[in-house]
Amino acid sequence: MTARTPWWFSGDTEERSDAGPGADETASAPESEADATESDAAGARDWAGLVSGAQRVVDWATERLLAPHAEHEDPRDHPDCVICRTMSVLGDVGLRAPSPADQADSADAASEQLPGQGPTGGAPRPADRPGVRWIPIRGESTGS
Amino acid sequence: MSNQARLILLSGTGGSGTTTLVEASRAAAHDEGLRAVVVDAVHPALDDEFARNVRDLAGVLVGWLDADDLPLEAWSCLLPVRQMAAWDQIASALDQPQVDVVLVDCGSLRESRALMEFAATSRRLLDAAVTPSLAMRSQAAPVGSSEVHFDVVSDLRDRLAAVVRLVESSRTTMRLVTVPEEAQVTRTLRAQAAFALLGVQVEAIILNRFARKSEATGRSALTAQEAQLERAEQSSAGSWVWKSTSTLRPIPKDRSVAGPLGGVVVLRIDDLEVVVEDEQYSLVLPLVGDAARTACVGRAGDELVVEFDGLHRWLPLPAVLRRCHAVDATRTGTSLVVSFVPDESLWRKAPEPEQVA
Repeated sequence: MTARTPWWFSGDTEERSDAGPGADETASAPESEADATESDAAGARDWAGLVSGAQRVVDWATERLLAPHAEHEDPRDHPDCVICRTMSVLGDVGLRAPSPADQADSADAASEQLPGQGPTGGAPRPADRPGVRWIPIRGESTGS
Repeated sequence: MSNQARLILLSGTGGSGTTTLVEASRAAAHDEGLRAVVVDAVHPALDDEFARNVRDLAGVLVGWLDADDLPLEAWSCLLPVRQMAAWDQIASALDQPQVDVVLVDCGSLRESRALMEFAATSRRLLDAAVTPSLAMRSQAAPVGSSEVHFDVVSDLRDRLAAVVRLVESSRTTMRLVTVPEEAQVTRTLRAQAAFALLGVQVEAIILNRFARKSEATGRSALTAQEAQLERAEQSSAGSWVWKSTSTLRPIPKDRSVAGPLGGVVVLRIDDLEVVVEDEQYSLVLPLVGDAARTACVGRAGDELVVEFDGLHRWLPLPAVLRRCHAVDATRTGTSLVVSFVPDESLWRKAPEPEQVA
């Protein structure tokens, strides 16, 4: 680590020890009613801060991320766009919207299927996922 | 994880008595002279060090988005904190000296499946997100921030990789708890197939709350329970099946609570083998129960994905198969055998005779 660390790094624990998620979890229970009231108030402030923070995230994301991303067609052409990068990552687990390139892949996948056979033989057909070519199942279970 | 303590994960259908059996297993281990530690993976405690790690990770996300003034709480609430904390505590328990067995209460089948999937999925996302482009951008970032990024990310990746290895390790086994009712046994057998697909060894299925003959449950009820026991035994695919009555003995007297008790063939990346025959390659994917009957397999780039019951297991293809077409697959009852043929456009062709001359 260098001497100059961002405010969020754990080396900066003393100033912001009340901001970490573990702070609330490890705090001892209030011993008096006054303490309890104070704790409740602090808890309310925490929730207010959380909601406020979430709203700021949404505002910021709308301005900085969603607006520029609206013009992007293929995520792979925009590696500097956070949303495109995220879509590319999620695409690996089958969650992204189809791109023109994916549709071409799907056409290739269809050509790999045997005539008259679904992508999975007699098994339940999996959900179509761009980027995944389902392999046709030739035989059925013989051992059970 | 320096010592070689056994890691036994217990999970079960709702109301089957998983938590009680965890405690009974600890007592049995104590009776055997073993030192057992119990971890509650459903409600893991968040200690200070773990909280700091979460803050670091949230900081990395903030840094990636160039949003260094965002409140930390907005990000930390998005993280799968519970699963991270659970694995953190399991690793800590295994690190303790002179511990023979770590017993983990994983809660319901759904919760335990999420816990098992967490590390592999998270590591996969990190692998995909950390690109050379990101490295170059981080290097250009102000001094300090890039170093922090890579320290935290690489540390997290290492930890997740260690968890994935632990999940698939021979020291790790799972015991599924259920009750002798048809629907619950069916769910448990499906869970067994899912865990085997994830590389987790299910060593035992415990039918808990089994009625004793002395209890006034009626002959038909007893017969129905025995039928479910027999069904579980026939479908267990190698997992040891044990019925437990209200005495809550976790295993028979002649067995050690630390096992091993049994096991099925699980899908582990290191065990995958490529078979070559007549210029055709085959990859055998061992599967269990319903997964062997209904799982689907697909290819995504240089990986195979096996889908079963909403679960996806991603397997990197061996190098030779990355230059092949997947032709089809065959079910054998205990596996899916995927056939490949070489992709002529990717294989180096033998030089023509005149070129050699």
